[in-house]
Amino acid sequence: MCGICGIVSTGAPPDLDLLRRMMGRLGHRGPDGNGYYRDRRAALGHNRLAIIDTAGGAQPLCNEDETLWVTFNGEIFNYVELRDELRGHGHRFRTASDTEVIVHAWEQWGEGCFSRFNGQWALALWDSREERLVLSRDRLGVRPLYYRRTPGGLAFASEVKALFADPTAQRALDPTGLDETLTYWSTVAPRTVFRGIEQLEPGHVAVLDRDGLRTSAYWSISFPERGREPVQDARANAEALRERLVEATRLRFLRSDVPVGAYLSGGLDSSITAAVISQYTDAPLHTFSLRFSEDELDEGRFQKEMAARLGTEHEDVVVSPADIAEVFPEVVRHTETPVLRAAPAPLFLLSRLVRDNGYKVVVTGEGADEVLAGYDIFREARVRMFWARDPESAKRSRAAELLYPWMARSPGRMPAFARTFFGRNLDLADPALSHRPRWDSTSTVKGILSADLRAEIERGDPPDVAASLPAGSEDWDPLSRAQWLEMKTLLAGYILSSQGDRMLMANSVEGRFPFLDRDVVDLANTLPARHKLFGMEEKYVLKQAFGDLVPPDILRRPKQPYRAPDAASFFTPGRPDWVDELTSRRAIEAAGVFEPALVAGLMAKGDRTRGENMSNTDNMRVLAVVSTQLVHDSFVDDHHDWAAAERALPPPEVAVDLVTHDRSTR
Amino acid sequence: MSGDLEPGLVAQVLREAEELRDPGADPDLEAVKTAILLEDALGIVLTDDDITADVLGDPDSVADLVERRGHA
Repeated sequence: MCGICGIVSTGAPPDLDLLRRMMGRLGHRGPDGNGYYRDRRAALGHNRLAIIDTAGGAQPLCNEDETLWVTFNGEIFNYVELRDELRGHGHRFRTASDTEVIVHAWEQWGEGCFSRFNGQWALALWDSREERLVLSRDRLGVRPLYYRRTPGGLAFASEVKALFADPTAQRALDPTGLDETLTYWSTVAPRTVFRGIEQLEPGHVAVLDRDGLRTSAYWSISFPERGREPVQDARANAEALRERLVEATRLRFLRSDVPVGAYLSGGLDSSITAAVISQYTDAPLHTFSLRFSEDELDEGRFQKEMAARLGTEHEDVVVSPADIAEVFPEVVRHTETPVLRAAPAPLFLLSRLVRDNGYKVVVTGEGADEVLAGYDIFREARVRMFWARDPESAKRSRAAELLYPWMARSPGRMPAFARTFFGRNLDLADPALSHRPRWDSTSTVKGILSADLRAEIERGDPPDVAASLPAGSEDWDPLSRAQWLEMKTLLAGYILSSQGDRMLMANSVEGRFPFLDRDVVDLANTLPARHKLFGMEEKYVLKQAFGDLVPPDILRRPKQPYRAPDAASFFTPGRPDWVDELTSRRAIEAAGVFEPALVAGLMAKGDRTRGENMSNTDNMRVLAVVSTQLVHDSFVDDHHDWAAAERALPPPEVAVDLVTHDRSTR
Repeated sequence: MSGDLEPGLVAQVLREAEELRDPGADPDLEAVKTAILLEDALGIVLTDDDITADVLGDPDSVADLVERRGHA
């Protein structure tokens, strides 16, 4: 895993000093080395986290005649098979890296190469003969890729902070991006929360040449028509899923030249991936877990049970609310976007634990809940569909009591509230019936926005991701539509980003996700909906497939989503000074995002209650205020000392400058 | 899904539904849970009179109900 960046210019040659500053800001993504290439039109930068071919895989890397260069972040897990195939076409390889496969695959298949890749990537290819830049991002958005259109071309980078190394870049929050974030928990690609900064959509390729910039999809999320799924037998599908998931896990464990560890959350998904991995190693597997000082959130019992069963060398970190507040500014400098939960912070501390134990790769169970319908929102949708068939039925309304059994204030204990909350907008014709309660409740956060910002938002169109559901989706199972919405919004924009890549790469750790393997996703998307969510039983086929590898109490326990202390983290005794400084009336007025009096009232309420038992809306509001103020402070006001990171960039391993005719490789 | 149900699918769903039954749970809520499963997996629609512990708490009566609704 690495950091990439680059500049394409139609005027003067790209500024090498700027490129080096951009690389400096991405140092955490690749502390093992760095390199650059520049000609009169383009410059590519690379920060390397060396995992495959640690001796020979330095980047940027080129083809035989040095006319095609690549800078690459990620892994192509089927690179061994692709390399054999490309050798059959006459290609010659100088390294054992997956990076070189990309160069030859592009030469052989052009844009068609991306459909052949099974992996997680963000990359840029520069064809100096054609003066053409190609950007590509993996299918579901595991790896990030941002870009900024400049007057003379384009700049791109793994993280927004690198694009802001250019002092001419506009620094402002985008009202529509904030509107989306305060609806869906994240923006929807290509939008970001920054004006003038875009992100390449997952599953897309962008081409910049003399005809300008254009993007197109090489893959899209799709499902068969309900009832026309190719295999209806649950046992056969369970066997097929097991075969593909075992292979996906094997690839992610074995295709590495450095040791690979695993996360154990205490839930089903990571228990399965860790159990599968343990079959491929004679040495004890190293597993890592996150625990909480609050009993309600802690899953330590299940983690220890699974670790003992597998005989792993197990490490955990226990996180308290005060720990979250302490690291939150650094966390938000990595999320680069407001977040409505504090959940990324503990994951930052977990990846630090991994790094401190000498590991830089972990396999995790991420993605299973989206791909195999594990989230409560899918159960919620099932209840709402059931109820919507007769909204007046008292019996059907009781279905809401089946939701969120793990919550202290669960619908089963508060049925009247549950019926009010989940019974709104029961419209069977609504393609977003599944997500409406979440989006509506999140949108209440906007009530504390400043009058100016609210007016600006209201001048635009309201967010409507459901309108972009593909043609034919009306014939999908409703669960499939809900999965599509979840993958388009929360998975790419938050789970894989703010909780995923950013928290891992902040500590130079690569995450590998077998459940997001190309072949696993392709199979999962063709399963009958009932094999994923059977009535109210989530991940049914997964449990059928791996029931022998997981202890019964982990297999049968109700799905408990990963949760962390939220607002309470910022109202602990002796909280860090930055909380008061950034939420002061002066700071709120200066940023202009929130209404100062309403923020003052919210923070006073938090002080009175120490943030305990705040409503879901107030919880989200506290997180929105704190994280947005941090984003504004670091990125818009530029108060962070980014130059320190820029100065820390070591000398390059690859330095090819065709403008000055300097060249060195180490 | 409408008209006659495919017998293999019905048998499979009923068998799997039976395996998921929680004998310790509130019988009325278990009936609701079973109703959700049957409506979603088999595409039938039940009435309020069907959604009772008496009807949906017994495998044979569930099979009879599905037979009736499946031909509706």
